[in-house]
Amino acid sequence: MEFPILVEGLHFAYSKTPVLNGVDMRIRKGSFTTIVGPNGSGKSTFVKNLTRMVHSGKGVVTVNGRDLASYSHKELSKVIASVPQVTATEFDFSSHEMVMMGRYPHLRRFQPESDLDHKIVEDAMRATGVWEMRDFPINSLSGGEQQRVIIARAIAQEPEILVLDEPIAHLDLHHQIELMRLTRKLTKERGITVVAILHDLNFAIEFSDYVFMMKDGRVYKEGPPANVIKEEYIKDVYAVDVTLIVNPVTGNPHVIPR
Amino acid sequence: MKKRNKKLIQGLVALAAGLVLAVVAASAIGSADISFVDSARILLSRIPLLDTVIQMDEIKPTHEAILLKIRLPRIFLAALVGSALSVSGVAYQGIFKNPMADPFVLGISSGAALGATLVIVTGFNAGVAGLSSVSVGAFTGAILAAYIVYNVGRVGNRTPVVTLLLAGIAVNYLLSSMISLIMSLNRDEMEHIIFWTMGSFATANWMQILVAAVPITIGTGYLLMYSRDLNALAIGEESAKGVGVDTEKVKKSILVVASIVTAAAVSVSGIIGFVGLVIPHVVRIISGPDHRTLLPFSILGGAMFLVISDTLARTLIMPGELPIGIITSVFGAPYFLYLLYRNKTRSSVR
Repeated sequence: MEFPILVEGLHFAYSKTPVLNGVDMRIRKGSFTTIVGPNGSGKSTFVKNLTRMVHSGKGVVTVNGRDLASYSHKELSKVIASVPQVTATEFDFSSHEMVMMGRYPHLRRFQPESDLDHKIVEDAMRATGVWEMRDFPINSLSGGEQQRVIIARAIAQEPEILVLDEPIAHLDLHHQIELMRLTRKLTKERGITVVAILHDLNFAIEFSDYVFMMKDGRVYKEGPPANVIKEEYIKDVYAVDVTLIVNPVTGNPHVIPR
Repeated sequence: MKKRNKKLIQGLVALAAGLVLAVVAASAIGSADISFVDSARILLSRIPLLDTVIQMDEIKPTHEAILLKIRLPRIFLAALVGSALSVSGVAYQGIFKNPMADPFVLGISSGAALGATLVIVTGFNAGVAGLSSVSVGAFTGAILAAYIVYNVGRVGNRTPVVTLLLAGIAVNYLLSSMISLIMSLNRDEMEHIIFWTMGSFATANWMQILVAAVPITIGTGYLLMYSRDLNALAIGEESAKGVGVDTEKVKKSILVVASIVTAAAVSVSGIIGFVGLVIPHVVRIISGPDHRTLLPFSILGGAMFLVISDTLARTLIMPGELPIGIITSVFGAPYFLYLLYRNKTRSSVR
């Protein structure tokens, strides 16, 4: 399957307010695909449609060639893992318990977690650097640490597709870069398809294979980062003047405010 | 995990032993003087296979009758109601992602009270299958109240937690004011109504236990099956969906089941506050939030708590009786506060 995610003419509205007005996307297997766009352009809503967090909109969405609506929640959670924007809980689950929840889709009712499940959870927690905090209550961790726990949980789901809604918004620079490298590595080593919403256009340029720029609930431009993140498009979509310079290390374009 | 299983089994054994001890002690305490050993022997003699071994010669038949016909039904009913309220408390807290939720958030208590009140003042006779008219009225009222709250709080096919809680609060106030109105118009029955709402196991009988045990046992089994889903839901709905929980369906079924369990308990006991709030909380503080331990521990802990509370209720001011609701609050609240305080100081150190 070259394009595990195919979206055609997706419309979606919250009660009467239209948010998506015909989104078309083809997302390539194993790619790091980024969705950028201003606030209210429909990025999050699109991702929520993809992960079925909201009721289905109008249009065609297929995952691995199969209609999205035909998946049960459990089936879908073995294919797509999502990292929501914020997660808060009143209960003192430990980080380890939290990540172990990623194994739920793979377990039958009453089936205890096996050694393999524990191995997968440990690997996921080591990969995101939260294994040392495994016994800490999730509420005692900083925002960035919580975020990495949630990402470990998504990895523990062993999905084919990983969907991240602004994954680096709460992280410091060090952890932003760590996280982007980690997800990038997942695409290379495990062939996982990553779909990420990012606000930082420079991160989008450095880490993505493909970028969708959204505006008013539609895809405005798509392509390799350098073809999409351009002065004139940014001006049109974000209504702001920027200058693109060349990143002296990577040679990629770099956005700076004018 | 091996560690978790070990913890689970150890906890279950300890709690079960505690419950048995509480039952035997409770059956030995009362106005008739039956020794601890005698009551243990009478209890054991009722267990198949053991009945042949136990010496019953010098035990008075009246003692046996008091134990088996009066004290034991009461103890069993207290245990049943205690586990029912704790289990539904756990379920509501998980669904509402709020450790302060209790089995009465959906208006079940006031619905039951209104149903009981109506039966008391009208003298309507609707007793079926060993249940009193008041129990039937209370059960019907409880289910109707939960049904109304659910339908008011529902938005299309979804049941947002906040609207559900708000609807529960509003309906609770509305029904309570109706009870007050009925009471002020029927002053003769006021005491009867007030005593019912404060809860009591004084009229317990085996038939009643049996009838209430059916929905409570089935409901509890159902909730145990959904332990993992409750874990996921306690983190948040998006997060639960992400790990494959069909949140709307699961939430709805758990709400319905927990409501039936609560209604069944309330209809045979009156409104006993605090159990459904404090037991889950105490268990959570001791053994963590994982519903796979939280639910079974709460079942046993809730049973033990009400057995002890009811024994105090019927013996503290002998030959009089205190409403059990007073005991649960007087003894439960300070302990709860202590645990909260200790937990607060402990987590702030970290």
